[in-house]
Amino acid sequence: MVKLLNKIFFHVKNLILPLDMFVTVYIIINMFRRLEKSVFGTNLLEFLEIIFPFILLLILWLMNLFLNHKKIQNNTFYNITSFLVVCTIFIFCYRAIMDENMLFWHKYGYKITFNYFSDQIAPIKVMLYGLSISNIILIINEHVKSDNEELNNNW
Amino acid sequence: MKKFIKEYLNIIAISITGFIFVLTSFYFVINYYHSEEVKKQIYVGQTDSKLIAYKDSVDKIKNNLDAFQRKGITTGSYYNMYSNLNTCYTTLVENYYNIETNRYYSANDIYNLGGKFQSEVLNLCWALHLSSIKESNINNFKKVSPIVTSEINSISKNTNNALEEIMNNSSYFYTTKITSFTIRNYLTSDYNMIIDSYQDFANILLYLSELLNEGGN
Repeated sequence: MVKLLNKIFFHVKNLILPLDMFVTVYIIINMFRRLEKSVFGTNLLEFLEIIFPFILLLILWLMNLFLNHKKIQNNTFYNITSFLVVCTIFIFCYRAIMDENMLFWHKYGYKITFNYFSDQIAPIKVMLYGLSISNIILIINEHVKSDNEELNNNW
Repeated sequence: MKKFIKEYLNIIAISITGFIFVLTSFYFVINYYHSEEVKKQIYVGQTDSKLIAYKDSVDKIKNNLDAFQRKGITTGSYYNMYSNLNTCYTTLVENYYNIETNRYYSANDIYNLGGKFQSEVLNLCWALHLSSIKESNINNFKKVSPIVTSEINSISKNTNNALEEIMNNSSYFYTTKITSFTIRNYLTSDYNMIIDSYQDFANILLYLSELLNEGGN
């Protein structure tokens, strides 16, 4: 049962992260448009600063999937946390676009609550960078062979 | 040694994941709480006296318009003014029934109510139909037009301020009871300001309908 749940969390998080990334890009592009900033001009760095943790984590998770990192695939706690993170980011995006009760939603005519979403950018970065660091450490851990393992391999 | 490093790395990874788990859980729960808070409706039954006064004004407008109709005037500038006032009267009555049917309002409802006042009453009724009293051939209307215009400007500003004020509810850190009560108090007072705007406009319309009857004799 735990194994099955673990597998579900592992694959679902991989699916939700790109979705989160696209919706975040959509919100950020609109935010830049409202401030009359061009995404690909002088503000490209600012844009990449927000998108980079998504790309980093996506690459790491694709590595986990295709390079078959067992240590991460079987780590239930990491997978649950990752799932929770992508769901929370999805909720941030969903509320920024759909929650009409936050009245700034009406103000600029974009139908997005920009001030709410910009409040969430810092936690999003912390969550994504945290997961990335943890993932990198788990990958390193997988590749450091313990003395016993080395002995077994030599035999 | 390698076993020690492996275990140490594992502990670091799990600690970081644990920290992220706690942080995410906090944001997850607090977002749910915040979405429930901004959805909460306020009860506006205690402001019924304002609605009664509004209805009273609207009824008096109806009486004045009926009195004008009985005079049988069907052409000319007085009749034009009558038909403009009648259009505005219909708008006010429709809005009265919309307001009266709801006793519980969410932030979004109050914002829409204010928006409706701006679009239907100020933009359509005043700007399209009644603002022409400045150039009216009827002396009575021409005389009062500066006062009426300034009154309408003040109503418009009040409504605008009310709508700006309730936008405070978008602030994310909405986690204490004090903040929550403050936001809800703003909502109640802004609802009152919007109803006052409706009432003030109804009073202006009543005044104009009385002038219509005086001049039409």
